[in-house]
Amino acid sequence: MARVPTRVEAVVILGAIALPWVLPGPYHRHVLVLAGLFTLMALGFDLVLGYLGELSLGHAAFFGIGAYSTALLTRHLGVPFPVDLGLAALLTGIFGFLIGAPSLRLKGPYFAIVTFGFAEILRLVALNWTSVTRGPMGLPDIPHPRLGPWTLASELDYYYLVLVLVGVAVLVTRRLLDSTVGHAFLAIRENEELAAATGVPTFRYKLIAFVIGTTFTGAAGSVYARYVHFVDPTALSFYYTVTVVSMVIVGGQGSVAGTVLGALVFTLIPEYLRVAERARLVIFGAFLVLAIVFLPEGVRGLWRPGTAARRERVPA
Amino acid sequence: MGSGGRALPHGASVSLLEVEELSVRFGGLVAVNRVSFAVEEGTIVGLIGPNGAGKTTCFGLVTGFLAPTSGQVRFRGRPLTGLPPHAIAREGVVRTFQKTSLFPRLTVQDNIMIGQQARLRPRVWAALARTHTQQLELRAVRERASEVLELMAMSGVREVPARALSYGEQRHLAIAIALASRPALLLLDEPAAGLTPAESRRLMDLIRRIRGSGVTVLLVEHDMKVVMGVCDRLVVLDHGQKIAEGPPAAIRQDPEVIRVYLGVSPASEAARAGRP
Repeated sequence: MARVPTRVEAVVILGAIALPWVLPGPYHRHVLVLAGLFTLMALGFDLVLGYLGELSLGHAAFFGIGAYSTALLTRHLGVPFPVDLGLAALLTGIFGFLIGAPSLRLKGPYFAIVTFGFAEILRLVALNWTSVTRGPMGLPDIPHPRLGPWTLASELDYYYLVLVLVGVAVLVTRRLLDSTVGHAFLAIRENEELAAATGVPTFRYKLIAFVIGTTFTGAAGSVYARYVHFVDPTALSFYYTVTVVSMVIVGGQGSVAGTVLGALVFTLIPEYLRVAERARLVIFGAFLVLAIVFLPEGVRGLWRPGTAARRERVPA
Repeated sequence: MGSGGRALPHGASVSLLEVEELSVRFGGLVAVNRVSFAVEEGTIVGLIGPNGAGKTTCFGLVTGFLAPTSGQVRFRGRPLTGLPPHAIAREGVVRTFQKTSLFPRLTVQDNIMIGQQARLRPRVWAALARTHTQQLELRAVRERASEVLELMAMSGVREVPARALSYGEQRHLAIAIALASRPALLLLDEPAAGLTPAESRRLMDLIRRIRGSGVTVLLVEHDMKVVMGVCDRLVVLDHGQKIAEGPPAAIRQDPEVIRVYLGVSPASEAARAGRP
């Protein structure tokens, strides 16, 4: 329950604002937008893995729901920004509730498998419900968001939009953790049985965290759809889940800073490794293995309590 | 199972905890078989018996971790049967566990802070809006933690992660966590297991002090010195059935209890069984 000093926070915020000017050019900024979107997803994902100790393998589905929501809302109903963003997050949260309510009654690998199953079902729906989703052809021509006289179109615009959303997600996460709700989360992660014995309605809190986490992810999906103008069933692919799982585990579960760091590293490294095209995935794989070997709590935290190593204070 | 007409074991006044004809069956095994007993407010009651007698199972049934096949548990006259564990904790019945009854990676102080959920009503919106009430609640939680640390003489280790404590201190912390939410009834599952004689004496003092602060205690324990030393009443289980109940002095002499514990019943052996 330690707090990062506000001076550090200020430096991080200023750094994030300055980053696209340090790394100018559309390509770098494009990578930064992706990193921001992954950060948003990873923050939502970490609420469940890092604070409640349950591994959800269906996270990509929520990204996809957010993306499709915005695509359908803007194309058919002309819903303006940021209403579509809010609705996409809300709809994703509702799906989070519907999927979380049955699956969070399971634990460990069972929960992981069931969430994976739900995600695959949703992907197949997106692929086959052609009258709505146009199947593999996807939904094109999603307009750029307009905000009054401005149209958000450039990489830089999107970067700051994503940055604001990440800021909101960090704030929400922080406030939850710095409260007695956060105590309940911690109790569940550290010892679920004892948490119940000391009065924590464990299932209810898991569901709350899951729904909040899915709304973050839905928001990321919504902005992604706007950004690339297009959404198809690959937005729900397992690839996104794996990426986010890697980010959070290597970055550090149960730690906002670790999650953000993990998301950055895991977007930037594979992108910048493109200079060594053939060796790219090999280098990336080696990096993953090393990270897991030298951050063993990452592996251990896979099924049960997320690591708290970073949060611990040294004995006085 | 109508309970209306049957007299309770302890007459007219309602006991704090009433266990009535409680049974649980795991497949073919009847782990607890029609066990009834009552715990009066302000007493220390020991649940004893050989390994596999059903003591811990009884705890699980009372605290909602296991569902009884039949029978009832009532607390202050209200049925607990069917409630989930967290709801039972919120009624004021908090238990410890034999193993890892703490939050290992958190500091002692954080352990006691997060152990107070039973008397809190955390609201997500209040946390997000950082309302005044929420801030007050957090402060109250911190203050209560200091109070419990003081009471348990653990202020010196408040910043130490729970898993870095000595075994004896960990057992102590488990009780501190359970006490943090001011329960009316504290259920201790083998609190003396693995303690040194000095630690056991400290534990006995502690249990008496807890009772002195108005908390009723029900404990499962193997250490006869502890059981005989602190308990006002004992309930003896064997193979899931209650075989005796009464004050320690009477239980010590009970031929059935002696038989169960020693397999024989010479009076000389019996005396040794119960004596320090």
